[in-house]
Amino acid sequence: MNVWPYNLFLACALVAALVLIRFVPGLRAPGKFLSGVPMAVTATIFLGALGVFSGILPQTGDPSAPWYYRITSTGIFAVSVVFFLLTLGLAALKRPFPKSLKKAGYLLNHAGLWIIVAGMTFGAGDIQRQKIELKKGVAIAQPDVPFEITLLDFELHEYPAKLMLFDHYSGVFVHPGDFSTELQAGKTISLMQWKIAVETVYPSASKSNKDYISDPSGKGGQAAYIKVHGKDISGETKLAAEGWVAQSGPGAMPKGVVAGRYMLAVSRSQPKLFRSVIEYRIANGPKTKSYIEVNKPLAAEGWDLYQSSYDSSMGKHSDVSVLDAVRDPWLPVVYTGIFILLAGMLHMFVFGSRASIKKGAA
Amino acid sequence: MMSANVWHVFEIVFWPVIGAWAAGLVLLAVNLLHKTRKSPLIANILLASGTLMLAAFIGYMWVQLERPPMRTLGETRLWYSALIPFCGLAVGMRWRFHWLNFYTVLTAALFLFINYLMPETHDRTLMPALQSPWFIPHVVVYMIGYALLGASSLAAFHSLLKTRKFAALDPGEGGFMAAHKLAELGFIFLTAGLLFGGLWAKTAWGHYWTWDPKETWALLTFFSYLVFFHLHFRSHGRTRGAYVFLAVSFIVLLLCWFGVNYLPAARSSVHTYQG
Repeated sequence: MNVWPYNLFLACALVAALVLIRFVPGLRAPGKFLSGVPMAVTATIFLGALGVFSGILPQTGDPSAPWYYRITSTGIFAVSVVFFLLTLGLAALKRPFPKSLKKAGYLLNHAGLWIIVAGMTFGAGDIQRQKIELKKGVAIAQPDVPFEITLLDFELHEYPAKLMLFDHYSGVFVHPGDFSTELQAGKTISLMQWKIAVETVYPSASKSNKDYISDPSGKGGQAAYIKVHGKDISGETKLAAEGWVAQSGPGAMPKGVVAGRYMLAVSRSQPKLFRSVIEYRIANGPKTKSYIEVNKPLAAEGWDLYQSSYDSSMGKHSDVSVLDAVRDPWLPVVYTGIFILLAGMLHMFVFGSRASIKKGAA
Repeated sequence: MMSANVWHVFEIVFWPVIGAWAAGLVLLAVNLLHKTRKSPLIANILLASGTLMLAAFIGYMWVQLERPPMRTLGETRLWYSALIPFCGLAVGMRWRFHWLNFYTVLTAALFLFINYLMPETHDRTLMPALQSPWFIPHVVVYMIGYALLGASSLAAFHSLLKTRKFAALDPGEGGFMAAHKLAELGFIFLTAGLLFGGLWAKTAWGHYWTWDPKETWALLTFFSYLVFFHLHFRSHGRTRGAYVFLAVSFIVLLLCWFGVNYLPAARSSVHTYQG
């Protein structure tokens, strides 16, 4: 849907209407009524009441769903937003030229919120969002996105794996593993009647005959050498079992250590960090190498690229990485509003909420 | 290195904290019932020391977990329990409205007790989306806001109980003054938390606003307090209606904080970090 530049025209028309209502002498009375507290409360409750629906019921983007499952795309929601912008805009124009810094709070708060809501509303149609599924070594170009991206590598770092314990006669988990059973070299873990000494830990390991060795590629599973001590019938502490416990890796099965009817094994670990090493090229320009990580997007040509997901069934062996490409040309407008509102809040913190409304108030 | 069991330490710290708070409240009650003009210094010290012990535990937890302890609802309850008693103490000293301590400390104790009854496996993991410089400011600012707004509702509740049903309210009364000032301060932090959340969401998920249920309820909380301020402004704080909205707002806030997880909309929320 191409709304540009009609959304800009609409925004300008709204601003013009607000200025007219506020400053044309004949429109003073309706302007005052529309910008008053009763209208502010009505507009806020109107918009908020619709918000309650979308806060309770799961929302969908499907246009054929009943209206209460797609509140923000309904006509009544649009009406409530316009009403909100009308009364809030007129309120902001009530005190457009504060005489001193102390009296600027009212304008900052009302104008800041207005700019945010207006930027969100009129800019919504210009936001472009695309999922880009990258496969290692393949250059991907998508329509609208003005560059070509190649995934060079996908890196995933994990938190330490946890030791878990199950009864291998019945198959029942006795201990699913938690913070206290994280595998760290030099640590002693207490589980049931045992003290388990963790000797060596490899965050990435590969199998070599009966042993495990560190795998510098970073793609191997986690492995640890453990010694299980327990008390025998006479109360003496003895070595009950020892050996490698390991996650599965490329061409390797998971491995556990058996102690009596129990088996000690390693849980799957949580991802700590994942990122794509990519190379991108704008038009026929030179290739640029870069990283994209969660919370660390890459900005290029007006687009932002976000690390979204990967093939989680493959974990660190995933050679697929999914990016979100987003273009939001109205973002500077919304950010301007956010910073004005933040300034308004700082003003309220320093001077109090009444400073810019009441005469002579502290 | 032996792994320190954070939960075990919590069980040990829990009782001295509760003990200091209980002793402080008893002493405060004696002080207030005797209507002495003097500031309840020893009671305040006891209440503060219980709260500081809890704050120290949160610090210890932070070090042990090697991540900010702000991920689960239980962890945010701990922050709330440590912050709200300070609001009560500050209001007591500023507006001589010492009654607020009963509400704030009992709320804190209730939250602490919930944590005591619901042991969490304190997990070190922090999903990549939460690993951001925004994580700490976003959560801390929100928790301070929640604590101030909770204290505000409690102060208004106490003063409303004391006022006859149809009488005009005295906006200069300590409880109402404290309620309004606390709501104002709390609202500042709430708004900052909401805006920080938007800025963070942009860097993490690509958009500052996605109508995620948690976001929607955060906006509704913001709106609800907006309505309170407008009603309070218009009535000069003399009518009950505004304060009724203050109570409604706090219910919306609690829905945003805990309630969202129980609503049908929560299925599609990205704000669930219980692991």
